[in-house]
Amino acid sequence: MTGQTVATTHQSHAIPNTRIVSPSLRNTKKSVSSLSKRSQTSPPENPTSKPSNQQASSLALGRLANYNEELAEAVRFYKKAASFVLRAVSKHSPELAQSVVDSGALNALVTCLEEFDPGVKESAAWALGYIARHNGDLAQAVVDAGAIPLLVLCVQEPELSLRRIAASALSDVSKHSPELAQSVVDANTIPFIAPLLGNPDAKLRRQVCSALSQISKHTVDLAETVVDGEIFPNVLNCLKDSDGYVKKNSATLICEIAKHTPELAQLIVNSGGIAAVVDYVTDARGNARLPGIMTLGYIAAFSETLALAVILAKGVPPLAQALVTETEEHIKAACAWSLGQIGRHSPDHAKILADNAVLPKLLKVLTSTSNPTAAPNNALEDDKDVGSDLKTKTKRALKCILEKTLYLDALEPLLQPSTPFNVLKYVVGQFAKILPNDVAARRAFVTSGGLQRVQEIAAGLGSATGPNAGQINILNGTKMGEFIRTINECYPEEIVRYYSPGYSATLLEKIDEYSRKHDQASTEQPPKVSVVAENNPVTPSVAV
Amino acid sequence: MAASFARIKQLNYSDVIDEFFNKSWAAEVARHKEYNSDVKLQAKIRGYMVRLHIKQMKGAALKIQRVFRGYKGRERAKAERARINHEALLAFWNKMTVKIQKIWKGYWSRKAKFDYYARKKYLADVVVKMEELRIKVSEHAKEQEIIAKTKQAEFEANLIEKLSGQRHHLVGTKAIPGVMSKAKQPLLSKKVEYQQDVAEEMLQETKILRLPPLSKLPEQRLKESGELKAWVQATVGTNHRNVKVKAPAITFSLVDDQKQAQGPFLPKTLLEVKRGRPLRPTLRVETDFYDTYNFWKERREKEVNTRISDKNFITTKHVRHPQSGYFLGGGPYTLRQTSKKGDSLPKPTAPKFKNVLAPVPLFDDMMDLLES
Repeated sequence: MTGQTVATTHQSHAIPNTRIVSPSLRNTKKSVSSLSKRSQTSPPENPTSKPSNQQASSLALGRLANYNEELAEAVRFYKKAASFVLRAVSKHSPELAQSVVDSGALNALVTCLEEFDPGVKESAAWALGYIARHNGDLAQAVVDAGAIPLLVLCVQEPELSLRRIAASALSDVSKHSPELAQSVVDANTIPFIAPLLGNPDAKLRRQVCSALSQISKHTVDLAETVVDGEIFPNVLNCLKDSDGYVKKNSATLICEIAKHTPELAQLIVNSGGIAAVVDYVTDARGNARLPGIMTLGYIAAFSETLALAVILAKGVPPLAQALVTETEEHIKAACAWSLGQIGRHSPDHAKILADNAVLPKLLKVLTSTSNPTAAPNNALEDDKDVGSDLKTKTKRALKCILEKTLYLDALEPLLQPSTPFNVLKYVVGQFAKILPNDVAARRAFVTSGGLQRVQEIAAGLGSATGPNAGQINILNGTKMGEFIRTINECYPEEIVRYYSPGYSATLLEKIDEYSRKHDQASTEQPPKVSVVAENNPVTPSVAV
Repeated sequence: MAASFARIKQLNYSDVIDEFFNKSWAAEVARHKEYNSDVKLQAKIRGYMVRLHIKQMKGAALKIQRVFRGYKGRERAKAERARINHEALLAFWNKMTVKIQKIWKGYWSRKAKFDYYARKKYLADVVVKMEELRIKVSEHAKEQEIIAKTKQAEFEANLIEKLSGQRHHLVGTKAIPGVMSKAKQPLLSKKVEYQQDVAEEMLQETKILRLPPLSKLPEQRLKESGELKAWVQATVGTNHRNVKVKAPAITFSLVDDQKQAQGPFLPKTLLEVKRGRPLRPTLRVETDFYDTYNFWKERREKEVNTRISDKNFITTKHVRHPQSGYFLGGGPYTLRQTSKKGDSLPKPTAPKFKNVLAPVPLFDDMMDLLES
């Protein structure tokens, strides 16, 4: 074995224990195999439902953990089997893992990590990872047992499977809290695992990407430490990996780094990383797309230049495509958010979004999720619906983009009575900002029928609330009313009246009234001629 | 005097008395007159004197006031002049300050906050960098793909080699007639048969070709495949003289004087017997199953015996970077080379002079760049 000298020292340590449990020791091999079978056959959904099972396992574990060293010195494969048992038990729930920890298995597992046999190390690292993945307390217990430096040593071993499992255990430990991640970083992990991003083994790359992203997600300092590990050209290569999980994990890593500060986002932009992220978003489908989409949003949110860089990386078309084609709501919401972040900086940004037909797509998403019969008054109640997150995100994105859009051709299609009120007010608001200052736009607005639609909208809103409330028109005192008034003030009164709905009825009424007057006065002049003459000044000016 | 007075009193007492009274009366009147005139005179003089005094005082007061007011006025005027001067100066200074601030702010913001040309250049550089990265990443992906393909090909080649090693008896001339077998046939019949043979061969070839590559077929399916059985029946089972060289795969007989089928075509019972036999590899490749393990053991023992110290030591080195925020240095618009060998991008130099009068619209440029 490992040399008789070592074995004897261990025996001398374990003397008091051997005496007490020596009869039970003979049966340990049996119990190990039976235990492992039992824990495998127990239903993974609810393993705690069998208390007898749980108790027996923990009891056996306690014994195993106590005499593990001795056992393993006797027969080395026991260590592997025992770690396997620990792993199988602790994988199911935090309670089981806690009972494993309570029985003192951690120290035994950590000593297993110091073993020479890579198989033993591997199974111990695996078990430690399974214990740590449940919650922060368990992970803290693993850290307190001093496993991290040994796991880092394991990552440097030549055996691939050991490296994979050690990296995954590090990821499981660091995912819970900034303190745990810091303790992982303090063991000088980053310089060893960061170069593994270029490793030819795909599964190792997966785990390394995951570990790095779990470390960098917590704080700016941690993210900067990860970036200092020279991950950059490699992680971008990983975005176009042959393995799907490597792609997803590396996208998550980039997302976790980009979200912290403008400097980190700029670092990604400077290294040309957005192009890779955009390609990733274009290629990926479903949930894997999400980190890429979020990365683009985070980067674009920081500054106007970075948003422009996202646009130049051709990031808008894939986002718009994802917005349409993806079926899950949270991905759509992320797309909407990212697009909003890109478009909210300046009219130029908004124009590019409008050129990619993002606005109608967003509007379609918004209207397809909301209840079509809902009146504008019920907007608040609708927010509590199932798709409320997607709805609010889409609405905010539309607001951000619309408030910067000065491109009338993009705004025109949204100016419809069917558009929801909470979006319509920003569209009308943009027209109210542009029209008073732009003569050509004013003329185009009339010829394209925009003014007529504004009047229809105004009439629709007025009538929608009029009978219900029986009070003053909704347009009095609201922003929408002010916007419509501002637009109407840009035109002569006759034109506004000509385009307001129901004008033909009022005209007919006028004709009737006029003819009645004429009949009463019994004049010889035919009434129609005079009506035409009276209306002449109004109509030709409009018709031009 | 008293005697004269008495004599006079005796002589003309009454006259004297009268005269005395008259004269004293007159004197009294005159005295009154004089007194009144004196009073008048005095009043006049005093009035004059007082008026004169008042006049003098007034004049003096006026003089004092005039002088004092003049003094005050001059003083105020001086102050006012100073104020106006100061205000004008202040206004001038303010104007100049604003001018300086304006120029400085313009310079500073162009230099550090929003440098239009630097931004434009930065964005162009980013686009170039992105294109470079796209190429690099796709190259890397291609390399990876090639490596994966070669690995797969190697694996398949190994598999085929292994299979061919196992099934080499199927392709021997014992099983399939060789070229020389035709030579033994009579010439006449050969001509007639030639065409048939070719047709048959082609048929068989197509049949074989229709099968997927052997490496892809699972062993079990290969054994149970009807096509293969038929092929074996047709070609392997008989030779060119239609003599059976081997029992067909389906009808294995245990007791036969014919040559036994080999490899996977053994009857099941024999196969199981064969499988149950202990592995006795040839001397050439004799290795124990536990060889590696024993080697580790030996090595370990040797290592433990020759070990000088039991202390663990770590052979890793701590990587140090020049600064913690080294990637942040060099202002907001400088590119950092992240790849190690990348020397394709030129070093950032001082911005070139550009004509400010006709700035080119950024977005149109960018869109041109994108389209091109």
